[in-house]
Amino acid sequence: MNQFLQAITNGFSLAAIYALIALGFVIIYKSTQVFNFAQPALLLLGGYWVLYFGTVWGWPFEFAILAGAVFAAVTGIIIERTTLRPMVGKPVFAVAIVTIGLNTVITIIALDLMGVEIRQMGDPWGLKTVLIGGVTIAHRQIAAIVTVIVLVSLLLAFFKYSRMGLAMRAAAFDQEVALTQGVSVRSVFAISWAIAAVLALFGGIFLGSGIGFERSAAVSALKALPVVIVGGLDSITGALVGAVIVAQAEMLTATYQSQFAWLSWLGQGFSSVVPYLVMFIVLLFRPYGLFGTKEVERV
Amino acid sequence: MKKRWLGLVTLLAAFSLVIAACGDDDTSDTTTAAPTAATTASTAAPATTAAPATTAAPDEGSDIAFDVGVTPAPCSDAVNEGNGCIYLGIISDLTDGPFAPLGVPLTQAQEDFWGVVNADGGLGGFDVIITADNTFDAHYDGAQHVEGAVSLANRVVGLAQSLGTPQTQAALPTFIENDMVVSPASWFSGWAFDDIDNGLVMEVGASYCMEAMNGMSFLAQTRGTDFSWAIVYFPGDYGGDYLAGAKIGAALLGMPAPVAELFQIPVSFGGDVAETVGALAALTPDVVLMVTGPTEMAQITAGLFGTGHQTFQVLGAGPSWNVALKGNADLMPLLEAVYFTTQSWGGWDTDSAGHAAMRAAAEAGGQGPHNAYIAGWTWQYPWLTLLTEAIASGDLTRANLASLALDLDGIDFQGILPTGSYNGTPNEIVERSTIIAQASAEASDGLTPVTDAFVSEIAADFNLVAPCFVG
Repeated sequence: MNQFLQAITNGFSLAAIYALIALGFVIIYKSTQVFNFAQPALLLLGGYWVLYFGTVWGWPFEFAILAGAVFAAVTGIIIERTTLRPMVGKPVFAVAIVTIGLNTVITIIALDLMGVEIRQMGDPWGLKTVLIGGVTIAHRQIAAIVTVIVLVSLLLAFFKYSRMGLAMRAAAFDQEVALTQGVSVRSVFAISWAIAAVLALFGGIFLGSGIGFERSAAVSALKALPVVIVGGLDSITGALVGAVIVAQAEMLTATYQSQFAWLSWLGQGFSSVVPYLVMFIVLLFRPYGLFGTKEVERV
Repeated sequence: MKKRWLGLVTLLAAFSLVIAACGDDDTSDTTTAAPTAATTASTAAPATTAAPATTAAPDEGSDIAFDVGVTPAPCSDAVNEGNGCIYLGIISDLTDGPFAPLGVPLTQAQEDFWGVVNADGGLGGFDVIITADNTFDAHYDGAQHVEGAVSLANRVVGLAQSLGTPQTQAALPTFIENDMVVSPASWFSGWAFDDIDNGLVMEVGASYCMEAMNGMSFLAQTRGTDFSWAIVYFPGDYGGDYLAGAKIGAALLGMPAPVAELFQIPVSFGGDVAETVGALAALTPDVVLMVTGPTEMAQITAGLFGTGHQTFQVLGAGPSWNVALKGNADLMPLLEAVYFTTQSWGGWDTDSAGHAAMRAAAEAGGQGPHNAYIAGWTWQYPWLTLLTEAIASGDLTRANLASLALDLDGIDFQGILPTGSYNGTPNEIVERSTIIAQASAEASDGLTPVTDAFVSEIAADFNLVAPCFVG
């Protein structure tokens, strides 16, 4: 039973990280109809800013996050302004290619900044654990879950109560109508990218806390792709639920596959494949994801 | 529109799936144009200058034949303007592969090694140089390694480094076809066999197989033979050779078989350690042999400790350590408690002429202590001996280098290792000694030796008639 609870706990912590990355995808997609393939690169760059301020400049971790978030947000705004805005009105595939190109460029910059070594994030959690009911929980896992809860609450409050949040919802619903109502769609686009970059930064923090931050974090960020497909491209709830489904499936497979001889034919490393398997299954039955908006196309 | 997005996303996700499942790396890299090497025999007669720790060079004015990778013209940015130039190449993991943290200092050490030789006047009238153009980043990927070998085949005399056992194996046909002598950045037991590599791969130090046997003997001496053990290993000959040696050792020492043999995909290729940690947590082995990169070793060790199984010991292969782990103040106390490693030679602070020369070169270049730097440096001694002999024989052609490498003798490692030789059967010439070291925050390279160099009884008696691992 403890093993099961341990797996579930690890799954929720992993889901928190996936959710942080996936939320960035969803927010940009909802506001701009752009699927941002550069999110893994933003994670890498955001994580780098935090470790830079925290360990190179020696700032307290909280201030390092704050400064990193400012840099990440500015980076997001600059990206939107310089590369995405000129693409408004262009075919979606062209915009997608631009974000893939962005991902490559930003990743190379981030990797050059980081170097090849494992870098310490300067986080206060380290490898500390706490034993609760026979389940060992790392402090950084608790921090990841709490952070997601806080950030999602803040985001929901922002969308519901702030003028910009309302503007973003309006733009997500219909950009042209929002424009006629005086909503600055340009500002909406810029703020969306800023928020996504900051969310990616938090994903980077939790991927890099504990052992250290390194370039393979970008590979881990790719697993947010199946998360948003499972949850639905335009649903915040979907991103959260998708993250939990994908992470739990992955973690339970990782925990139990080796213990069941009848699963051995799948081979080791199969848990890495599970997120994509879940994605394909969901796509078969709900092409728009579990919570995505079904699009009606009239001929 | 969303349908099109979904189609595109699905396509890319499927692509990611292939990468994750196959452990392949799709990034590509190419080298740019390199200095054109002379392709016909010449009679250039570079001025002879004595090089450190080398055999006699030909008299000034003597003719030296050469072909690919050697020019009578000086190297670009030559240290010695009157010298000719010998170009060596490197195929390494320099940016995003699992051994990039090791590949970079390893490469630096090799550049520094030849920098020291050149600063002392060069080698028999030649400077030896590894240029950036002749340094290929293969990302620890076999296909890109072959691409690197092909691109360097017409530009360098041989390779100062070919990182990775399976990768070097993949490129062997190119090396053989072009008579390219290679220093491997790996310790595969098969490199001792000329029928595998035509004698072109100049192995240095004990193989993974011997290392594992010595490691198991160390465990038997310190814990007895009644303990459970598991092994986590990378795919290919690196993991396979160490696994084979560990199993041979366990059988010869009367130890039980491993409770698990866990295949680990490098995290840089999309691998995840969760599955390995889960399996180990369920089996709670007393000892975990870690034949991975440093990142995987650290993540698995910390992860396993985090599951509540806190009484295990780790025995890592040499490449599982990286001095950068010292920087993690939370991780180091755990590693100091559990992590031991089998190493082919002494650590940074070892007292030998070779170590002293290596430390001086590193300090001059601003390089801090690093276990990979020691390895990179040590792997160049066979090249030094080989080039010196070739110059002495008046023939720097690849064919002659390949011929000399087959029976190269008297390789002076300046005390880092005993004098080496490739002249004999694998069982006669193979290096069998190992040093066991333990993680230590106090040690400059993060490792403090707990044994001197030793050869266990089972390793000494082992009759090496075939590679321990055949993939």
